[in-house]
Amino acid sequence: MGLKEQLIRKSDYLWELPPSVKEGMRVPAQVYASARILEEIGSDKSLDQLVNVAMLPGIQMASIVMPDVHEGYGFPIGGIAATLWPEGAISPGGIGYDVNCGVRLLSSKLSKHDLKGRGEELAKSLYAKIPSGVGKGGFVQLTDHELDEVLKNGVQWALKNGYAVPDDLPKIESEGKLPHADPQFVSDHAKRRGIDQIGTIGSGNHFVEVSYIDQIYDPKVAEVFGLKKDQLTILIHTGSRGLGHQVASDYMKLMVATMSKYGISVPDRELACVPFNSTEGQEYFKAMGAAANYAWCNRQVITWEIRKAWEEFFEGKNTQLNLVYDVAHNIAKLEEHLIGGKKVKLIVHRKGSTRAFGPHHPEIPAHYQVTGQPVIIPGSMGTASYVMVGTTEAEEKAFGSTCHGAGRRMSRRAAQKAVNVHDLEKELSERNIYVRAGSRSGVSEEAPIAYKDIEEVIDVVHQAGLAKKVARLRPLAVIKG
Amino acid sequence: MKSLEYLSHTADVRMKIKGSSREELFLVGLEGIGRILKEEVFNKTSDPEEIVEIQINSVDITALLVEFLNEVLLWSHTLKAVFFDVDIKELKEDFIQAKIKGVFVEEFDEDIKAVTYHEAEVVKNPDGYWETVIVLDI
Repeated sequence: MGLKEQLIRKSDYLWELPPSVKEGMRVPAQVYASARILEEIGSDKSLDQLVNVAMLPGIQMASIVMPDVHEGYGFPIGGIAATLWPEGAISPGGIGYDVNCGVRLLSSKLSKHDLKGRGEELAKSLYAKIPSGVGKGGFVQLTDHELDEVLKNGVQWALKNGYAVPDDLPKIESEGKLPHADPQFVSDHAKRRGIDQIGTIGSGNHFVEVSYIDQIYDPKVAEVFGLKKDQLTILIHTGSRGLGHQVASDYMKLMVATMSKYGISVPDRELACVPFNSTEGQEYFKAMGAAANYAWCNRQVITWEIRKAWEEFFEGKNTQLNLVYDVAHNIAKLEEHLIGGKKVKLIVHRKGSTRAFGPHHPEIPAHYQVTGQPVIIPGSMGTASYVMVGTTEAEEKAFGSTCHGAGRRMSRRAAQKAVNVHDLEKELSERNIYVRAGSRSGVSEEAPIAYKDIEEVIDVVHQAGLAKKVARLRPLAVIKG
Repeated sequence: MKSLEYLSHTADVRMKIKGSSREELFLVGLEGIGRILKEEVFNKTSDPEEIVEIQINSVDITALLVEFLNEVLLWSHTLKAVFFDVDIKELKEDFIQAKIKGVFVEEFDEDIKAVTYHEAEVVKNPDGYWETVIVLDI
């Protein structure tokens, strides 16, 4: 009997595989999904990978995936694994190669009516001013010393150097700086790859998107978030670029070579891990923190580029752009959660999952204490994105986590074959959505057909209480690598 | 006989590589990465513009191949080059010394974040060929 057939329905949106389904599982494997999404999940290796994660040393409560889950390369994408601090496992694969890939939302003082008829022009203007594409370098050139400052101090470096305003910092997860970050554990190779990439989008599914708010679901929370109907907003989706990729590769290699000395064996080498409190575990945690700080700085410098371009484009209007929030969806954090009524310190791995802390959580900014943290969920190119709010229920059920996007359902190559780029661009422009991309394949790979229905994914996490809908964003201009 | 085949994967790239020797398997892996980064490099004959010497110790032949390919990727990104050939001086179960040969490119067609260990297992099949699957994080 396959894993899908062994899933036990726990509620309308929660399904579970008990530890008895495969030898070595330490906790159950949980899937948040609708019955329809579950059909798709069963068609790739997501469930096998989820079950493997349930075998990690020190894993607590359950290995969990969200409705945007899809097959990864060890850990499923869209998953959460929390291990017991201090001796539980830390695994680079549970964070991924793009350390602190994440999303940032900016709100403007303008409405969609201010853009009328100029969407294509805005897309061209932003494309010219925000570096994008595979391996592309940026406008900001760092010295070795400055790069170390970025790695150590994150967005504080950006503030000191004029790329941020003081109000930005509290609106970033961890205020844009993980204090344990230490550049000395980032290899020279990784630094070499990162030195000229700050302020760049990269390629793949990364983008900058100008959208407008077409629907408000929770007016009170939207008001606190500074969001209103028809308002122009900007989404930034990117991560730590080549530097983060190299940090992950370097430490994956180290852990494959050293985990056996801690008596650890895993069913898939991409789950390679060591005890968090081991020398290798601590070195990785410090290097990963540095890469996370780089990613926050990257999204900050892109914000600076956008602010300049916005000011120029909308000259004469109120061009202020406020940071609503910046969330990481590939990261490991030390957090305290209640398990069986007892507070425990955990190493929470989020691999394609967004933190979604509810009201009054000490780690969210003062401004959002009453509402819960903003949760930003980008859709696929040309479809809606969502602003949600974190919940106490998410903290109880899923270590304060929710989904991170629509979730792929079609391979990149299949999408390239299935999608005619010219037709897609025409269809999008007929809907007043303008795309500027460095390559045609980059557009076809990210076509909406390649992704699950974002509305369905959002409905599942909303109904399951893992985050609540606040506002929906409709795209107008998309910049891609 | 060497062969390179790209298989389906929901989000990334899964490639099946095959060679008549372990050395040839490493060459096919290098080619599999290079073709994703810049296919046109393989459509013509070029003299190498860049040669990088690589030396890696690893735990076994599978990890060695993955780590070799990650090293190729590292140099591709660092030098903005695509490597199309490898001259292997020494290859053991857990060690390789080789020179990789490539050309500089203006830009890549597609990014590869990393070569993963997922599903990788270098084996000699009953026909006598060396083969493995390699999953790339795109």
